[in-house]
This record gives sequence, structure tokens and C-alpha cells, in this order.
Amino acid sequence: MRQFIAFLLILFVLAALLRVDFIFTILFFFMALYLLSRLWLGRMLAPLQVQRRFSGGSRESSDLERSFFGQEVKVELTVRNTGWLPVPWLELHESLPVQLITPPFCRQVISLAPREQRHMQYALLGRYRGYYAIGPLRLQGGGLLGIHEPRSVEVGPAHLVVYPRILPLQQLGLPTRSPLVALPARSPLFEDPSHVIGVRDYERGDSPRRIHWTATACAGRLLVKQYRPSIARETLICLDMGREGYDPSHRYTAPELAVTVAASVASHITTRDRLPVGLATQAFDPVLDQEMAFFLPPRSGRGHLMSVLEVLARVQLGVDASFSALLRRESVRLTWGATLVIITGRESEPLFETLFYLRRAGLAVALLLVQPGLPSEQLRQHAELMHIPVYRIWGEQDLKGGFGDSQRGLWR
Amino acid sequence: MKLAGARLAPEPRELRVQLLVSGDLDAMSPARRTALLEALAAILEIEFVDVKPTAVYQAELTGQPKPGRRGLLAWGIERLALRRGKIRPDPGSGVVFDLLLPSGAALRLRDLVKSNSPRLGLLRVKKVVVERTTGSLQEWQMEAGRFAFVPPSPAPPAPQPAIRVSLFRPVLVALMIGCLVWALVQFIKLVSPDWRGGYLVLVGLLAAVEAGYSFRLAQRRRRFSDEVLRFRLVELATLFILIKIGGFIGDSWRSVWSEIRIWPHAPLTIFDLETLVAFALALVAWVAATITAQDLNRLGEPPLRSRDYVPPLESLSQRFFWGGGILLLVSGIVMLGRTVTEVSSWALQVILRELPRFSSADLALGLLLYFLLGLVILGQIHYDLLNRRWQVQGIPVDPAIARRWARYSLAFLGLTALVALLLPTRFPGSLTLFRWIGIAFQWLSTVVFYVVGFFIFIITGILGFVLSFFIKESQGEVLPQPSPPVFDAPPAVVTAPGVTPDWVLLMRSLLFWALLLAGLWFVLRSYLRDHPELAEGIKGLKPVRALQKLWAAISAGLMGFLRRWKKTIQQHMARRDQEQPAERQVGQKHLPFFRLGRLSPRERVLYYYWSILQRAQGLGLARRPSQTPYEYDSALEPHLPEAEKELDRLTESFIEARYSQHPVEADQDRELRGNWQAVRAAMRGLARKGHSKMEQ
Repeated sequence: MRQFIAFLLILFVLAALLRVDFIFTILFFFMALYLLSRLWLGRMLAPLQVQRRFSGGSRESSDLERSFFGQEVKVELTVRNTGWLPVPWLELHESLPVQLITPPFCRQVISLAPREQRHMQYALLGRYRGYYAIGPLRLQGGGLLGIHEPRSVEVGPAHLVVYPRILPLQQLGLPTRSPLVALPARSPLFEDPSHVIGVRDYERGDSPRRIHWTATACAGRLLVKQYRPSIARETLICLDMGREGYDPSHRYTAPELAVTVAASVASHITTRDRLPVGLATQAFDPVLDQEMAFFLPPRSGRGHLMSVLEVLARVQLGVDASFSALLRRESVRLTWGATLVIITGRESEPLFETLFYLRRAGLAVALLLVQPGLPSEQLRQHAELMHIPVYRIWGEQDLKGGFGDSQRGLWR
Repeated sequence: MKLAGARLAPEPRELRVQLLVSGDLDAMSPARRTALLEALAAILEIEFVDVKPTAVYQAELTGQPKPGRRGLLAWGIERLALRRGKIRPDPGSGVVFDLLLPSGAALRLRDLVKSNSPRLGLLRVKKVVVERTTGSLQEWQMEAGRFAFVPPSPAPPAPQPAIRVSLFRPVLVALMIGCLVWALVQFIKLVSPDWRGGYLVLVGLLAAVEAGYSFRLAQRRRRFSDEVLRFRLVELATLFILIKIGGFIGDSWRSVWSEIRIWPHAPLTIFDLETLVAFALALVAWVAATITAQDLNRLGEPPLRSRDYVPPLESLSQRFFWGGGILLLVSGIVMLGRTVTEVSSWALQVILRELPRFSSADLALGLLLYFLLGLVILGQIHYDLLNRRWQVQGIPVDPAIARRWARYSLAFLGLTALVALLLPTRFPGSLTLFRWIGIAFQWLSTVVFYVVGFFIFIITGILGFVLSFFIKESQGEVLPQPSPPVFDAPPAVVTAPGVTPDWVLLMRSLLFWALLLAGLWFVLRSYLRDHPELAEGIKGLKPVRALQKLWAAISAGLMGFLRRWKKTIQQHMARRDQEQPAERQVGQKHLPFFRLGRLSPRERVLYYYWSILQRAQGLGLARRPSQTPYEYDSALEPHLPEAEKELDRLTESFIEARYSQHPVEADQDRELRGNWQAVRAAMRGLARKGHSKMEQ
């Protein structure tokens, strides 16, 4: 209130000129009013403590919450006044992502007595995958007379990861028992001694370390352990998140579907085949607000799957990503015979050159095309020549109906 | 939010549409902003022009319809021009695109929302405000992927505020103004101790209350400008009359009568200096209360986009502080004048040297009351504004706030007052800060006085020198000194015998009093008509009821006499008609009855009907705005059974005259006049019955 200062000055001049006791009292009253209200306002918001609690997600937390697709997450905001001064009015404005709640904010006006606490609740529905900032919470409080402008503080946001949608793999039309590609090698070069998949009769030349003594004792003949071959079971999912990888008319739907496909494949390999899976992509990261390359080396286990899903939840379509360069760069880190699942929106000559290079490097390659319609004849010839299986995936209806039969568009 | 089905309104001609796009453009990274705008562009088929990262936008769509395409795409919007700085986004809600869509927009909007598929998650139509060319507003609302036109529910009739509603603030404002007037009156009394202006406080108080009440009355009735002017003039005239009457309080009847006797001879003495000063004070109080009422009424309204616009809260607080400053100055001078023994100020020595000394408790009380009430009003207004904002934004408000607001306000003001009272107001020693500031101001005022005096001396010297060339002939002449005015005795009425006869003076006097009484009657009658609640209150008083009865008796007697006299005249005229019919017809041509003869036949028919309406209104049988003439005819007939046919005929003629295009025949005038007179007679009978019932 600008007039208040001018009024105080006039009061001061009058008091100095007239020197009447009562005018001094009035002057002191208004000066005290000004200073005390300013003091009150200054100390009003500092002792406020805010706690944001999630419940209903994958785990209860106060900082980072994870939620599966379609899951409801309840959030409880607790505002506590730890000071001795009351807060006459406090406006709470929690900014929320529009993808999870409508309207994209939660507001309330409360009053807080000293040592009082209030709660505000709302629910978020994981309708879209993503890495969302829940907040910030803006607290605005003011005085009773409006002499001073209201003050506001901001409480930083918490974050919520909504994992992408995961569909059962058979609905994608991919082989369920074998992950994508069956390698012809009968004698794998590398075996995993921790995973025994069976026994066989002893042959000359077998190492005595492989003899299964318990089984031999039971059977009465020499039996040796058979380990799970690891060479053909290491899978890296390469997701194209470059703008050039998708047709402009499907730039907002195809990448989302591609992410869903990647998440489904990763989940299938990890949970059903219990094989290691990795992820490589170059995309825009909303957390860092910049484009960056993600590479998660193939690992097995649910924890690793969560890491993969977390990356898939947050990646956005990038601008400068060159998918062929990414494939060449990341394939160097893979062991010989590993499988590459390449997910992109359109085929191209440079892509096939890269695929040819990868095949020659001893890697198994499967191409998943997220696009409507059948691939071109040229692509078919190229794929047959290089023995690369190609799958076409498009639309939610296709996903629901299954891709197993060739009539629905699966082309291999 | 409950949606009343998705149905489309009739196609409006032009729509003004607001689209709320999720996300704050300013806070977005360039990549996200590009993605958002591209999504919007893909849906709307538009091209963004002049998109700035740190701006608020208003958009205007232009384009031409394209044949063979459906929905939104059919329009083929060519361009979306975004202009900066028009609309502020709701913090945290996103950016509002204000789109002006031409015809056919309803269907396109529906398609737009259909295109707004959930998978995009970028564009969200929260609220679409549709404004037709006729100016009516309807809302289209989007909720959870559904889009619907919510038909406006039949709004309940706005309750007419009773007198006691919203009385709190006007009364507080009136009390504050009363404090101010009290201080001013005390100031004038300091200069002129014999002046009796105590009644002015009451007048100021009443003027302020009346101003607040009248403002709400005028607001409710929504008068036209000329009516408002008349309304206000009547108020001011009533105020003047009250002040004039108040000025006689305390005078003896003899002195009042002697003053009144002078008025016919010197009417300007009515407007003497004392009355004018009092009226000016009351006028200031009235104007201040009216402006304050206006500002209080403006609270919560959307701000105007004008350079001269002052928000109501700012205007109110400005007035409060300025009023407080004036009150402090006046009260301080009066207090000083009453208490100070030795005035150090040179300027004040001149003013206050001979002033008497009194106690100043009344002024202190007035000051306290003024500031306390002002702060209470400011606090309440602040809460009211906040509450309105929260309601508009749909923010749920904790009900405890209202309770705590008053409690915290009282505690805070009490604590502040305690702090102020504990602080010392007397400063020992001669070198205190305030003493030095006072001395500095005295020196400053002295310097300013001498500088201004010097300049005035220079200017008057130059002017005198220049003027001396033009008025040389008057040099050396002694100008006649004006004689001091004599206030003691009233001016004697000097009449030269033989020049102005007494009967002329008598006629003048009678004319004056007739005009004065007529003016008074007109003003009071208009005022009471404008303030019907007040009139009802006065009518309820016992003495007034007795006076009414007396007047009814007198008027009944007078009416009876007039009726008899009229009957006699009519009989006389009838006899004369029978004797000289031809002469009378000739005479009618030259002497038309009333002014009806000058009207056209159509206007005459309308006049008959409207005069019946007016009379019926006087009987309490007014026609409602919703009633058609036929409905009103049916409603009125039971009250006038003896003139049923005549009323029917008048109604039919009125409808024909009012709504037909063909000329109205003049032949039916005689018959209609007869009908009209018959209905009037029936109404008079009805009025008499009503009176006799009341008397019983």
C-alpha cells in the first residue's frame, strides 16, 4: 500500500510541527502497525514445514515415487506451522502434471494457528508414462490489512515415474519361448556355470569338473552337467527416439508405441526368460532438460528391469539423434553373438547398411518397425538377404488382437 | 463438475473462444515448447507467428472455409497471430490462447476437442467461453476428455437486498465522516466561538448514511441519466432544507419568525453565509460517502483497461489516509489552540494567540474512532477481496478463516495500540529530533513566505507601473471607501407611498410563499417517492396516520364539492347543448376539448388506454410487464363489473391502434371517449369504495 508510507510521512511532519501528545500516539500507532505487520509477514512463512507423502504407488516414499501404468497414487500434503505466530491465510498451490490430473493443480486456502498442522490430499492417475515433477508447491500468505504485499515461498517438487505400459509378449507376435532370435550354434563358446539346465552322459574329453556326482550316483553311470549357454541370450534393445526415425504424421503416436514395445520386450526377457537385457537410446531427457545417450548394459533381474523401465518412462523424442551412429557405437560394448532388438519407425538405406555391419560383427539382429502398412519390397529383399527378422507393429487395436498371424501384418 | 449431456448450441455467428493450453510456455525448454506448439499447429492446422518465449499471448485466427473437408479442418485456418501482453496466464495453469473464431466455430470446436486425444497430453481445452454477436455469453466446458455445452440453469431471481443488508459498511463510513465533520466544526468554532454548528455533525452523519443508501437504491433501479440527475438534485435540495431547518435550532421562535418574514422581500437571505458553509460541509460529507459507496460497490469487479483506472481498494485507502491527514491537522490545530500556553511556531502564534482553551478529549475520541473504524473497514475489505478472488478461482477455503480473521485483527490492533501507548510522547531537552524538525519547518515556512511575498511585490509593482499609463485620469482621486455591511438589523422594507401599492406587495409575498411551499412539497414528495422504504416508515408513524386521516376527510369534502360543482356545470352544458347544438359544434372546432383534439386518432386511442392504465396503477391494480393487454383486461374486469364491455372495447381498440398498420378511423372517437369515461367513472367508484373501507 503506497499511500501508507506517504501517510506516515505526513503524520511525522504534523507531529513535528504541532507537537501534540495525542498526535504522537497516533503516529506511534501507525508506525507500530506498519512495522509489526511487516515483522509478522516476514516471520510468517519461515517456520512452515511441508511434507509430501505418496501412497498407493510401488512403494511409499517422500521424494521419488514410482507407479505403474494405470495405477492411482494418492498424495498427502502436510503443512505444519512450527512457529508461535499464527498465519491468518495461506494459499496453497500445488502444480501438477496435466497428464495425471485434471485440472493440473491442487489449491486450497487454509489458516494456521501456532503449532497447528493441516492436510491436503489429492490423487494422481498414471495415465501416461513419464517422469513427472509433482509440485512445486507455492505457499502465499499475507497480512490482515493488506498493508504489505503478500509473500510467497516455493517448496521444491517431488518426482513421480510412471512406467510405460507393458503388454504380454504374445500379443506382439514375437516367439515366446525363444527371445527373438535362435542362434544356430550348438556348442556355445560361453556358458554360465551358475545355471545348470540339465545333465548328459559323459563323453571323452569332458572336464572332470563338469561331472554331476550326485546324479551319477543316482543313475549309476557318469553324467556331466549341462550349463546354460549365455552367448545367444544377451539382448540389447535399441530404441530410436530421433525425430527422423518416424514419419512426421505419426510423430506423437509412433514413439509412444515404440516405448511400449521396448518395455514389453524388456519385461518379457527379464521376467519370463530370466535373461539379461539392456537398453540403448538417444533421446531428450526432461530431467536434465537436454538430449543425451542412455546405455544400460544387459543385466538380468527385476531391479535392472526397473532401471530400464525408468529410462523408458522419461525419454522423449529428441532432435539430433542419429540412430545408425548409436547402433554402431553401442554394439561395440556387446559380446559376440548377442542379440540386438532394434525398434524404429521407418526403414532407410543407412539403417540397413548398419544392420549388415552388425550381422558381420557376429550379432543377431531383429528389426521391429513401428509404422502402419507393410514394409517396402526393397526392405523385404534386404532382410531376407541378411537373414534379419522384421516385425511390423502399429496401433493399439493391433496390440490387443495379437500379431502372431501374418494376416495382421507381421512380416518376417 | 456435472455435465448436462453433450449437445451443441445453435450455430452462433461469431465466437470468442478461450483455449487453455497446458504447461507454462515461459517455463518450458525450447524443445518442449516447440513440441507443444507443433502439436497445437497439427491439430488446428495453423502456423504460429511471432512466438516469444517470455510473453503472454493473445491469438487471432483467420482463414477461409475449404470445400470438401470436414470439421475443424474445413475452415483451413491460415494464420494464428499471437500478440503479446494481452492476457495473463493463471499461475500454474498454463497459457490462455484467446481465439476469435468466425462463423461455424461450434462444430469446429467439437472436432477440435475430438482431436484432442488423450495420447497427446499436450493440449487441454479447459474452458471455452463462447460469446455470440448478440453479446450473450455461454460456456462450453471440457472435463476428462468430454466436451459439452452446459445450458445455463435458470438463475434464481436475485434477492432484493433489504435495508439492513450491507448496512454495516455505510454506517461505519458515516461515523468516520461524522468524526471528520466534528473536527471541522470544532475548528470553525475555534475561529468563531459564537457559531452554533453542532447540528452539522448530525447533518453530516445523516448525509453520509443517506448517500450510501441512495447509491444502493439508484444501483438497484438502474435509472437513466436524466432520472439520476433529478434523483440527485432532489437529494441535495432535501439536504439544503434540512440544513436550513437545523440552522434554526436553538433560536427563539420570535427570531426565527423575524428572519422568515424577510425572505419574501430579500429571497437571497435564505442563502446566507452560515447556511452556505454548512451546506458545503454537508455536501462534502455527502460526496465523500457517495464516492466511497461507489468504490465499495466496485470491489471485486474486473479492472478496466484504461490508463486512468484506479483500483477501488487504492482509491478507498487513499481517501482514508487523506481524510486522516486532514483530520489530524485540524484536530491538532484545535488541540493546540485549546491547550497550548506558549506557541513556539511563528505562524501558529498569529493564528492561535487569542484562542480560548478547552479540553480535547472529544477530538481524541474522534481521531481514535476514525482510525479504528477505517482500519476495521480496510481489514474487512481485504478479506472480502481475497475471498472473492478465491471464489472466482474455485479454490476451496477453510471455513475457520472467517472466524479467525476478526479474532486476529482485534488482537493485532490491540497489541499495536498497546505498543503505541507505551511509547513516550514527551521528549525532554531542547535538542530533540522533533524540536529540530519543527524548527526546520518553521524556518522553511518563513523563507517560503518571504520569497512568495517578494515575488508578489515584484509582480504587483510591474503591473501597477503598466496600469498607471492607462488610468492616469484617476490619479489623485480618492476612491470611495465601501461602507461596512450592517448585520444587526434586517433590511427595512421601504415603500414609497403611492408608487407601490400594498396589494402588489401582498401578491408578491403570496406568490413567493406559494412558490416556496410548492418547491418544498415537490422536493419532499420526490424524495419520498425515490425512497419508498423511508416513505413507508414515515407512514407508519401515529401522528402521520392522524394527519393522513385528516387529509382524507378534507379531500373527500373537497372532492364532493367539486363533483357537485361539476355536475351542475354538466347539467348547465347539457341544457345549453340542447338549446344551441349547432353553435356548440362550431365552438368545438375552435375550442378543442383539453389537448386531445390536437392528437391523431391513433394517438387518442392510445391515450385513452394509457390513462386507464395510470389510474389503475393508482388503485393498486398496475399492469405487470409480463401481462398482455388481453390478460390485463381479464384481470381488471372483476374489479370493474359495471364497465366490463367498455373495457373490452378499449383494449381491442388499443391493440388495433398499437400494432396495426392501417389508419385508425376518426369516427370511433366519440364511442371510445364514452367508453373511456365509463371506465374512469367505474374506477372512481372503486376508489371511493376503497376509501370507505379504509375509514371503516
